[in-house]
Amino acid sequence: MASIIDEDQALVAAAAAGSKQAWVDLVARYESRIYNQALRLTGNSADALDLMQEVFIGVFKNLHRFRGESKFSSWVFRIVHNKSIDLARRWRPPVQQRQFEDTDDLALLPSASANEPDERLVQDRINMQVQALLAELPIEQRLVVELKIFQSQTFEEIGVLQDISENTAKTRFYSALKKLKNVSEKNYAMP
Amino acid sequence: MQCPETARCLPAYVVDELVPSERETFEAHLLGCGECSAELASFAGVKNALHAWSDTPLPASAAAHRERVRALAGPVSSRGTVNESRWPKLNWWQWAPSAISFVLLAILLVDARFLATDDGFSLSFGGQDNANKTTGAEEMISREEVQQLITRLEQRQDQNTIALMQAVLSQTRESNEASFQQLFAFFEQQRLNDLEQVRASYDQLASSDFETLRSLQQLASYVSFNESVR
Repeated sequence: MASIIDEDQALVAAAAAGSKQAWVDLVARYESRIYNQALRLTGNSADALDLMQEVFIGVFKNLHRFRGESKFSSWVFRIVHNKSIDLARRWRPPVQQRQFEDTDDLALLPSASANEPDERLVQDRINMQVQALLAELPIEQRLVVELKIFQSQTFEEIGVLQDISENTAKTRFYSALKKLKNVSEKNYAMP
Repeated sequence: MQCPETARCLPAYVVDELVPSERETFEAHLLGCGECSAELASFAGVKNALHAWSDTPLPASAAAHRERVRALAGPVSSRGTVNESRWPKLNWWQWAPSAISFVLLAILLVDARFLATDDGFSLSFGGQDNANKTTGAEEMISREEVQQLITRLEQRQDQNTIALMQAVLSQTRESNEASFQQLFAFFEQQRLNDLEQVRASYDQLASSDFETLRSLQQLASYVSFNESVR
């Protein structure tokens, strides 16, 4: 049985050779992962969808450049990383002003009906809180947290990706944690 | 004052990125450092809060984005499957008009001619052979005709030029006569005006002389009267 990495390589090679079906399969395989990354980085669904679309356009245009020296998922995240910086430079995420506000929970329900709607609702609420927390960080720190906490990359890998030293990556991560801690304490402090 | 180990080791310890020897050293430090222990506890809370994230499905509004992304590689059916053939299958009535138009266009472009004679059929392209069949006499005739046309054109142009010049001269002559008549009338009127002014001046001068003579007579009579009184 072929591994996920091998399947990715095969799909990329086929899509680069002009197979539309391979491209559709590749999109189906990665759209949820990229959307969730984008959601954490942008803080709202509309921007996340736009970012996801831009990422896939970037992936499609550069399919022929993928050499298979790294994992396809890492290569894709590098594109997510660069596109999210571009997006952050263009506008500020609107979620910053509505963190922890009372929101219409029904509006957060995903299109695909989950098996247990109540659990999904609770999970979406938790995700909203994480988005609101991350939105407090500048994009450089948010990306380090994304890479470290959600992508499990080492500080050395983060340094290479962001073109900074390993120690700078550690410092950014430490600053991000301190800020997140302060924001959490402020939001959950008793009045 | 902040413990120097906090910034140096804590971030890597939180995400379990210290090598075993460093981890043991830092854990030993934690036992005796309240600041690092408290910081670790709060960071662990943040880390757990972030790890509470669970991937959410794409919303309904993602359908349009998904279709655009899938369509990058070509048209996609509503079921998300694609036809691998680069050329879609067409019925004969869809491609026949285009094919006929193409053939007719090709015939026009290559100037193809189909001839049926007693000897059989023949197909020629470009019309070059027919052009070569024109005789030298035909070429001479055509040249003479062209020369005649040029001569007639030149004659017609000459006639037009002469007529134009005559019209210009005639108009100029009429214009000059009118100008002389106006000039003569002007001088004549001027002469009459001058004569009238001279006559008026003589009359005025004669009248003035008469007044002077009368004044002298009055003066003389006044003087003679005064002499007589003495």
